[in-house]
Amino acid sequence: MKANKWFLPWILLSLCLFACQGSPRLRVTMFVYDSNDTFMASFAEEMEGILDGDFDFSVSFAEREQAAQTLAAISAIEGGTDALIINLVDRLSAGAIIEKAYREDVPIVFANRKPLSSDFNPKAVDADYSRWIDENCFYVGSYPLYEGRAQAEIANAFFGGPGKFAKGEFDRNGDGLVQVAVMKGEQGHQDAEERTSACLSGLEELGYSIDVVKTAYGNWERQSAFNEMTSFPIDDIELLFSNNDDMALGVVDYLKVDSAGKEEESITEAYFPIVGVDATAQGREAVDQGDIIGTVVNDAHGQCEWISKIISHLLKGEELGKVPEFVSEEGNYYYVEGGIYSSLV
Amino acid sequence: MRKYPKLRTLLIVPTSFLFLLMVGGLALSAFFIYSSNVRNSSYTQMEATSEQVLRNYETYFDSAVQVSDGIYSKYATLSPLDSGELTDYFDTLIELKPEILSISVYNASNGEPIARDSNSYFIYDIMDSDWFLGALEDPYINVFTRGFSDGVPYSFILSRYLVSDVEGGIDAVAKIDFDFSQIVETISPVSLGEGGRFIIYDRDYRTIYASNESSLDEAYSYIHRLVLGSTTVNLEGHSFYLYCMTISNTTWRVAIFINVDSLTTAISTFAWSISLVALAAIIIYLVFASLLASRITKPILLLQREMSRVEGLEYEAYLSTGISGSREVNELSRSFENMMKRIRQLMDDVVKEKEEQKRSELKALQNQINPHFLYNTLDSIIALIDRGEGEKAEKMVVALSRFFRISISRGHNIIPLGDEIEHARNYLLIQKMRFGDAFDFKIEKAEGLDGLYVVKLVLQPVIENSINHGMREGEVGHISIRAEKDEKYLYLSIEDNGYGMLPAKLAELDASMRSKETYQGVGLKNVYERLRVYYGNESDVKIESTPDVGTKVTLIIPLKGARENEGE
Repeated sequence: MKANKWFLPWILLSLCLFACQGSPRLRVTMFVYDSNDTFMASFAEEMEGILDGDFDFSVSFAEREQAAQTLAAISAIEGGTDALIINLVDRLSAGAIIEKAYREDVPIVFANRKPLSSDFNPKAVDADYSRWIDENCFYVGSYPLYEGRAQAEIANAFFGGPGKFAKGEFDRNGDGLVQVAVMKGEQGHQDAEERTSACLSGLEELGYSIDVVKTAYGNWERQSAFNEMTSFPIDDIELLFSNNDDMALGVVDYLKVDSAGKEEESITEAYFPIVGVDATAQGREAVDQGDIIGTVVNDAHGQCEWISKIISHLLKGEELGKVPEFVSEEGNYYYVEGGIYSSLV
Repeated sequence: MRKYPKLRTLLIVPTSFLFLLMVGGLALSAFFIYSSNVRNSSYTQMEATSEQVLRNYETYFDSAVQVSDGIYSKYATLSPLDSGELTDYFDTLIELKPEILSISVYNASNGEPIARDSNSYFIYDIMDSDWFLGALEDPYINVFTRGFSDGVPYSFILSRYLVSDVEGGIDAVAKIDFDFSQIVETISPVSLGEGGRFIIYDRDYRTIYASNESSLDEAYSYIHRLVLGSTTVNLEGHSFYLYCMTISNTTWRVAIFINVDSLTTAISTFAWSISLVALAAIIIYLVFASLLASRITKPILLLQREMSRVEGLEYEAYLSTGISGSREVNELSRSFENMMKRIRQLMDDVVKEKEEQKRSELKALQNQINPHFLYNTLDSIIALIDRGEGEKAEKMVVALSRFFRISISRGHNIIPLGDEIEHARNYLLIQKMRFGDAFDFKIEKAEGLDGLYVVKLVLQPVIENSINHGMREGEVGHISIRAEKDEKYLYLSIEDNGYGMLPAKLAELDASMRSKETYQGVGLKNVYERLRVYYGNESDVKIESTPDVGTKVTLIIPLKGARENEGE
C-alpha cells in the first residue's frame, strides 16, 4: 500500500514530462530586411502559409538595419533555431552570418538578396567549412535576367516593334532612339543592377536603339522614387523601366501630381509608358487601371515553394528532387522565373 | 540507550540552519539579481556604444561609396580619351577628402592603366590583385580590400567596376586608396576605457585597422571564436565586453573591446559587501539565539536541580525566587511549587493521623490496667464483708470508687497532677487494706506543682510493681511517692525498700522497657511508652536499684508538656 502514496505524483510527473517534450517541431526563423517592402511582406506571408504547418515558423523584420538583423539572427542561431531563411539588409553581410551559422550547424537559405559567390566559395579556409557551406547554404531569388528581358518585351509589345516605333507617336522627338530612364532599386543589389542591364540590353536585342537619359536609385520604395522623380527630365523620357512595382507607383504618383490640369486621360498618354517588376497586388491594379503598361511577375509563390523544398531537404532529409522548369540552377543559387502581367502580351 | 540532544542544541541548531539557509538564499538571489541587472544595463550601454562606433564607420564607408558612385557616373559618360578630365576630377576629390591617398583607373579586361590623379603613380601587374578580382567578381558592388600604401600604417582600397556608356568606351576598374589613420581622426572618438580598442578586419581575419596592436593575436582568437555578437573576455588582465559585427556596404567586420573592469569591480564589491552583511546577520542571529536559548533553558535547569533535590528526598525544595523565564516555564515552576506544598500538606496529614493512631493506642494501653485489680479488690471487699469488717469494707469501697473516678476521668487522658497523686493514694490505700498493712506509704508533694497535668495512671503500675516485687517477707515495706520539679522537668518518683535488683537484672529491665518489641502486661514498659507517646523523647523513666536496699523509679516529664492540658 505504500506505493500508492507515490502513484499520483509519478503519474503527474510523467504526464508533465510527456507534455513538455511533446512532439518537438523544428524551428525555422525568417528574417526580412524591411516590413514596408510590399513584395517582401507578401513573400513572408507566402512563406508562412507554406511552412507554418510543418515547422515552428517565425518572422522577424529588420527595418533596413543590418546590425539589428545580424543580432536577431545570432540570437536565433544561439537560441537553437533549426534553419534560417534570410532576406539580408546588406548582402555583403552574408559571409559573417554563414560563418556564425557554421559554428552552430544551422543551415541557411538566403532569399532575394544574393550572397557573393566568394561567400559560398570561401578561398582561404578549411575543406570542412567549404563542404558545410556546400551542403547547408542556398540562395533562392528571382531571375533578374529574365525579368529585365520580360520588361523589354512588354515595352516592345506596347511600341509594336522597332520599325513601328521609329515612325510612330511614341518616338516623341522623332530621333529614332528610345529615350529610356531607369528607376533602379538599390546600389549594389544584384537584382537592381541585373534587371537594369537586362532590360536595356533586351531592348537593344529586340532591335531598338536606346539612349539612357537618366538612372536613379529609388531604394525599392514608393516615396523615394517619388522624390527621385524631381531630378528626371520628364519631357525627354520616352520609356521608363522601374526595378519594382513600388517605385513604378512612386513614379505614377509623381506624374499624377504633375499632370493636374492636363487633358490626356492616362499617364501613359500624357507622359510615357512605365514598366514594373514584381506584380504585387498594387502593381496589378495599376496595370488594370492603365497607369503602367505592365509588370513582370516576381514569383513569390514559386520561390517560397522551392525554399520550402530546400528546408524539408535540409531538416527532414527529403530528396530535393528535380529542379522544376521555371527554376534555373547555378551551384547553390536558384533563380525562379515568373511571368508577365500585362494586357499587351 | 539513545542519547537525547540538549534543549539548547535543539533550540539553536535547527533554527540557525534555517536562518543560514534563508540569509544565504537572500544574499545569493540579491547577488544574482544585482549582477544580472548591472550586467544587463551596462551591456545595453556597451551595445549602444558599440553600435555608435559601428555607425560612425558605416557612415564613413557610405561617404567612401559616394566617392566611388561619383567616379562611376563620371566615367560612364566620359570618352576614354578624356583622361585629363578624370585626372582633374580625381584631384578635386582628393582635395576635398584628404584621407584619399590616390585614385586610379585600369582597363577591366587587360589591366592597362587608364587614368590617375596627378600626384600618384600607376601600378602594374594588377590582374591578380584582390581588389581587381573582387571588382570583376561582382560588378555591382564596391569592393573594400586591404591596402599596402607606403608610409601609411593602415590603408585600404575601394575598387569598383566602371561601365562606360559612351561609344567605344571600355569597362574599367577604379582603385581608390584611403588612409585609415586619417579617417579615424575624422570620426568622433568614443571612449572604450583602459585597453579598449577596435579592430576592423576582413573576412579572412586580416587586419584593416587596429586602434591598439598589443596582444593582437589573443584578441583575434577571441574574435575568431565569437564570429558575431557579443561576449565578455579577458585580455591583458582586464575584462572586456567584446562586440563583433559586420560593417554595412563592406564584407568587413569590426570588433570592439570595451573595458568593463569597473563593472566586474562593482559586482565583486557588491558580492563582498553582501557576504559581509550576511555574515554579520548570521553572527547577530547566533548571539541572539544563544541568549534566547539561555533564557529558556536556565529556569528549566534550575527547576531540574530543585527536582533532583526532591528525588534526594529533600522535601524543602522551594523555588519561587530566581526563576523568571517564559510564561510556560513560570507556570511549570508554579505547578512544581504547588506540588511541593501539597506534598508537605500531605505529610503533615500523615503525621496527624499517626498521632491519632498513637492516641487510640494509648487508650488501649490504659484500658489494660484495670480488670484483675478490680476483681481482686471486689474479692477483698467481699471477704471483709464476710468477716463483718463493714467499716473497712466501706473505706475500701470509697477508695475504689475514687480510684475509678479518677481512672475514668470522663474519658480524659490528661489529668491534673493532684488527681494522679490522689489516684495513687487511693490505690495504695486499697492495696494496704488488702495486704493487711504489710507496708506503709507516704506521699510527698513539693510546692508549686499546681496547674500541672500528667498522663493519667502512670504512677499506679509502678506502685503495683513495688507492692508485688518490692516487699520483703516478714517486714513492713515502705513505699514513698514524691512529686517535685526543677526548671525543666517534673519528677515523679516511687521508692521502695524491698529486695532491690542486681545491676544485671536492672539493665535487663531497662532494656526491655526501652525495646520496640511489644509484649504487654509489663506495667513499666506501658508507662514508658505512654510517656513517650505524649511527651516525646524528652520524657524518660529512670530506674535505680540497690540490692537489699530498695528500688527507685523516677518518671521524668518535661515541664513544657506537663503544663498543657489535653485538647488545649
